[in-house]
Amino acid sequence: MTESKREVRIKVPVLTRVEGEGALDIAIHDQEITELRLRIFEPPRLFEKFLEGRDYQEVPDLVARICGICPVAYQMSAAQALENAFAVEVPAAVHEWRRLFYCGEWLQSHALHIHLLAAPDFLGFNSVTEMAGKYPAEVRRGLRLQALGNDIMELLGARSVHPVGARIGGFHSLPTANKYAPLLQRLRDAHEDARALVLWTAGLPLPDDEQDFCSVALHDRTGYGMYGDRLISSEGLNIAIEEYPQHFSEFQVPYSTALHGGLHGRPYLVGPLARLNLNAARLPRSVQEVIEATGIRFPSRNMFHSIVARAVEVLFAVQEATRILEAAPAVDVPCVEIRPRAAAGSGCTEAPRGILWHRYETQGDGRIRSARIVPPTSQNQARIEQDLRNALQAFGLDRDEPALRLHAETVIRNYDPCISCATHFLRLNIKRSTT
Amino acid sequence: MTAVRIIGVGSPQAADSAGWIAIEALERQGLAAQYPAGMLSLRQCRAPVHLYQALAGSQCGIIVDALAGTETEVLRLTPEQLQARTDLASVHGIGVGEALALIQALGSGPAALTVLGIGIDVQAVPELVEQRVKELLPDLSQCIARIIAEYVAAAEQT
Repeated sequence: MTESKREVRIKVPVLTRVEGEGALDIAIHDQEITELRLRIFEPPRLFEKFLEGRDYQEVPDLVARICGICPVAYQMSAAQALENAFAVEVPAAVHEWRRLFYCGEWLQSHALHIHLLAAPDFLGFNSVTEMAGKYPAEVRRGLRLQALGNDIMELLGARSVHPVGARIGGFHSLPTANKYAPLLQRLRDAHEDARALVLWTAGLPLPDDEQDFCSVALHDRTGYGMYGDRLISSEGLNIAIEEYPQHFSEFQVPYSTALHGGLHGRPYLVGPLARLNLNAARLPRSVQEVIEATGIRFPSRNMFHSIVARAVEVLFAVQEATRILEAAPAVDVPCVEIRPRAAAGSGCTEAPRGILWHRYETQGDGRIRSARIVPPTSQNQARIEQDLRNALQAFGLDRDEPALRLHAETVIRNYDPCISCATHFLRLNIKRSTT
Repeated sequence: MTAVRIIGVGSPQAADSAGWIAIEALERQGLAAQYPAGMLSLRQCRAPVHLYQALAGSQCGIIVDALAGTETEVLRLTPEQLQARTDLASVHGIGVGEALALIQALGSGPAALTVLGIGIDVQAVPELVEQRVKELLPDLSQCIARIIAEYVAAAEQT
């Protein structure tokens, strides 16, 4: 009796329900993955080069154009880096308004991903449109929360996509109480939506897929952070953000226009699950109580708990935004004076998808001499490939191709990858062979 | 809360700006003033997913968007016809077609929902996009007038 030779190649030519353009190729030989490539083929965008020679005050508006989903993160990392370069201390009240701005972005980005992109995978739907037929209340809730996040961003940025309100040193202007009063009421009303969302995500039929991985996030001494001046990891790293290049590397692979990131040469995870794994104790007690009610414990090694982590951050963002607007931080002027100088500075903030690191060198007149930007999706790319190998092996490589393709897409979407920063989804090519 | 919402989808960039330029041109024409006060509003929208919010409470929604093509007339499409097109230039997870399908699935959109597509070469430079919208503006205005007339006639019957 002869054993049939079997070689399988699975190709997913276009990844769907992700931000940007990517594809996945997998070759399977004798029930082992011999090749796995998450190909990102969006053309390089060269923003760092565009920034050279531009005035420092142009940077927030330019970098906001890198991403339509997380422009605030780009603006805030750039602001922090340039303020560090110019030795500027932003008043605490301005910092609070920045936190509010960031809450808006977390809220809109996470609500969009949970409801429109990820949840259909776990509930067996091809799209949110299909899902809306059976889960209309949940989808409406998602759209309400997302709209609330957008409106917070618009309050401070004049518009929610590519906002223009932020500047180095603060904001161009800040809203009056009359302007944000309706938003504050909507935030108070959203607490129950956000709490229900956490419990709903925890009740989804999430695959049980425990893996070893290294989590990396910012450490904020004052609370659960979008900001922080130190980077920590689940493997004991604790460094100042300026030390990032000494520990983290970026490297090119032939099949991707996005760089891969490594921590001491190894894949690592950034984003909501990494943040919660490292900083859950810093969440307000009221949020921790809701996590306890889910029965899920953080740190978690199940990558699919990312959707729950995102929901927890939605709840946190709603509570935090409410707190900030109720306190109504008073400022005399919305921005501090800047005296540019020849210098260098680093900034790092927690974008919805994970840490976003910037470094700028400036000339004496404040023009940009050089810029380096490391977005979260490129940092996660090596980790996604590592996860795919583990997850597909655990799922069973003898499954049929549609099942393998769907599971691979689910794994990738779980990271909420921003391929334009680094979605569209997945073209999966699987090749199987046996000896 | 206007009954008729005309929403240009897009961004300030090149071909994608056609929907926004069209809305600005319709505003300059004083379109809203041609109808009873508070009946019609015009606005620009960036991300298609924001259409849920932008159309909330309306009864007649008209979406103006760029479509890849060189048609010499404005294309009048139902949301279903838009979704069936394979030449859509939108690159992100939730495009206009998907956003409108979602709104309909939730039963929360206006009863009358129409997409007006402006055919644009996706590589057109900004000057050519403005020229294209200018050429198609009379046709666009007529399409909008017809859609509103149909909406008013239907409303009078019910």
